[in-house]
Amino acid sequence: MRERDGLSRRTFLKATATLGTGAALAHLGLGCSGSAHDIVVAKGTSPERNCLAAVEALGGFSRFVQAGDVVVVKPNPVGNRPPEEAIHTHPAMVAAVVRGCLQAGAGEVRVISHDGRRGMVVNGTAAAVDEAGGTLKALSNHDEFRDVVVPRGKILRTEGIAVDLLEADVFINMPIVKHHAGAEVTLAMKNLMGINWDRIRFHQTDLQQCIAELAGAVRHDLIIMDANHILLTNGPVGPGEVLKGNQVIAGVDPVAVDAFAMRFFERPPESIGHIRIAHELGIGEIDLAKLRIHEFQA
Amino acid sequence: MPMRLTAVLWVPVVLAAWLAAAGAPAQAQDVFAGATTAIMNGDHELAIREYETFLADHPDHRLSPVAAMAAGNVYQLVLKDPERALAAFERVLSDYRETAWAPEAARRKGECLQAQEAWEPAGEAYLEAIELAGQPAASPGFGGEGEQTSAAWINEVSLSAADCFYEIGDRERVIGTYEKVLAGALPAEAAGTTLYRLADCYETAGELQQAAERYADLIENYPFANEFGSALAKRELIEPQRKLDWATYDAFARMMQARQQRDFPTIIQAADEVLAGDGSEAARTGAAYNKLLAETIQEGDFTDGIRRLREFEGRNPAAREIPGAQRTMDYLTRVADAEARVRRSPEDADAVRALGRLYLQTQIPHKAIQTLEHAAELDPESPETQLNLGYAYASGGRNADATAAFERYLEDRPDDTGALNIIGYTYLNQGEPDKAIVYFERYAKLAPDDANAHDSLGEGYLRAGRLEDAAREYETAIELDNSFSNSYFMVAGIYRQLEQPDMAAAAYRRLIELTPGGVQAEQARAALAELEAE
Repeated sequence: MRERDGLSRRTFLKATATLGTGAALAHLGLGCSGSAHDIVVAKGTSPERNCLAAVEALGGFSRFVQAGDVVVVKPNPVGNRPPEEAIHTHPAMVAAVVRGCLQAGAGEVRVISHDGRRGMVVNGTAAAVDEAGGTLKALSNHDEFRDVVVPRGKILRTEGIAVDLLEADVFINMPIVKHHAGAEVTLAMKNLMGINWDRIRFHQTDLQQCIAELAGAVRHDLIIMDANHILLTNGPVGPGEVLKGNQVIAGVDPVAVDAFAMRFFERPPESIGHIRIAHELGIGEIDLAKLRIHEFQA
Repeated sequence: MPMRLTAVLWVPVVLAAWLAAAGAPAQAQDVFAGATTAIMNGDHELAIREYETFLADHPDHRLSPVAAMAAGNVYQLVLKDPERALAAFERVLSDYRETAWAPEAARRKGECLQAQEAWEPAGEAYLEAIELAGQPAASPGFGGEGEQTSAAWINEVSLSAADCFYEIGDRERVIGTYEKVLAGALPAEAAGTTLYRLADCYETAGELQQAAERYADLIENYPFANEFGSALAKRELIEPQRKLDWATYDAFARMMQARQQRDFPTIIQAADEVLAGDGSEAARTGAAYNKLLAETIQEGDFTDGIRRLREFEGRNPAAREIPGAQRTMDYLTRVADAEARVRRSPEDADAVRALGRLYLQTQIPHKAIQTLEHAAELDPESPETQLNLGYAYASGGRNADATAAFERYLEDRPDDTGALNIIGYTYLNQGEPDKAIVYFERYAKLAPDDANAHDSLGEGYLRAGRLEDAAREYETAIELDNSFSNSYFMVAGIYRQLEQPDMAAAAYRRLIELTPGGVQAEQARAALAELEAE
């Protein structure tokens, strides 16, 4: 996996120390993360337009994708209901991201999930990905996963992670905002359950802790969260109360993005175990006051 | 010095201050991101260097113990270097002893020592882990179902400690380990398990009085423990030593079994027996709580039920410690809130339907049916109500009413593949596979790429005795989705009937690979063994 922006922020800080203040100030003007914002929120009635506008506000696909890159996209693929029931990531968004990455020069865009093809075929994601030029890959064999140490793990020690993701140049997580009976909510970090082989163990031990620990074993390049329709109750498969959020949230910090999305549930981010633990593990920022949030009409 | 030059010289100072103030936390996150990337790329030495540099630069940062643990984990789990792993975990124990990482660091230290067969220090490290976990400031630090995990954690660590002392033949310390664990403030679940192990240890050594006392303690004080039933089975051993009201505890066990089966009348009856008997306070509290819960669900008045349960918890704080009590309370509150909404707006069809759905989820079919029938009266045009009503009838065993409701729904939504699937299965439950096949075929025609459609159609054919057709559909499902475990299981059974053992064995093997821990996998293993024996 390539380092973000081809140069990690830490490397940047080290580099500026030797280059002198002029270079540092010039870079600071651009913002360390390549965007003036930590979280962007594009609002409107078109999921696709919201999605594209959000990525654009973060610097566009070309900020994240370079020529020839292999991009792995992980939507929430569950369910065979219409997108308005808010069970799975809107197929139009997934297609837009596939197209955006290819236009930015990606060599290949793979949409992966451990959940089998069925959900994505029935809900239209498979056709949308195919039409956009991407490849759908349902992970179903153990040899498609490779054990990786979970460095910040208390419960998890090593975890089988999709080889596609480990070997990808860019990883884009595309969750939807949903209530979840087990995890309370399913947002960006919960959506990672599907890039790993053994999910049953998560439920048998401590789901909240495991979700956070898994998030510390994977580097996000971009998170594009579908909040166009939000399932507030009876998740993750519904049917339940649906809120028309009419927005897409994007960022690079999974904790920050998840913390922001808790506004729809009218609950503080700290009240969700995995968000709080992930912050404690240094995976990201939970305090929205410390984040630069840009909300706009797409 | 000219003013302009002074200003220029101030810039690096201001920038350095800004970086120091704002940069450190961001840097921490970047270090971890960089290390994670390195690990994903297989460069573990680079990851270690990232952690070590951060620790050297920021020894007092809130994430420093995380970095130290992470380094230890990489040494232990990937680089297989117990010496350096040990040093990393010892650093956590010395420099960050007051943090939530200390108990786990001590446990990992024990593992490193155990790997070197240093049994005694390993056992002591495990004991240190348990001791640290018992300190409020440094609990194991799990964030979700913490109590449950802490119990599992303590069980595992105490067992590791006991194993180490057992290795060196130090039975006293094995017992001492369990006694020490029990002396701490343990979650009920861990206490039950530890007591059982301790009793077993005494029993194995022939110290029957000690064993009987521990088994009896378990029965009296931890009736919700998983080992309660096993302890009850030690009646012959316990009876000469301790007088227990066995009928009461047998009733308690019956109540717990009924709880698993959602047999509410039996729960209430057994709870009454416990309450009338001469059992312990823990058993009486547990019985009273379960009786209230069962009455609430059986009567279906959650508003009154939640009031009574809260009052009970107020009078008996120990009831909050009953496993799953808080989650149950949260769920019942949701239902009570939905009931309140319907009371406020009795003509609101959406509210009535939502309540009906909650009754359906709570598996109270009669209330679900009654409520959803009312919702259908309020809004006869609502297809969603008909769909939910269909599910409610089906769960109440009224299959004919269920299929009628699903039919009404399908009149409005003829292409809903989910409804086609459920009506098909309802016909199968009625023993009418030919009618089921009609709907499954519609489903498969609408969604030819949906593996489940072919899986369902396969089941329809199978129940109609059309084995070859069924096998073809299951194979189609597998072709569409090679992870569709049910199809492997079903087609394997068909191949056995068709006397094609190799095909059957291959399908069973794939199923076991896909869902090694599943119920079907268990049956598949048994079937494979039979096939190999044939």
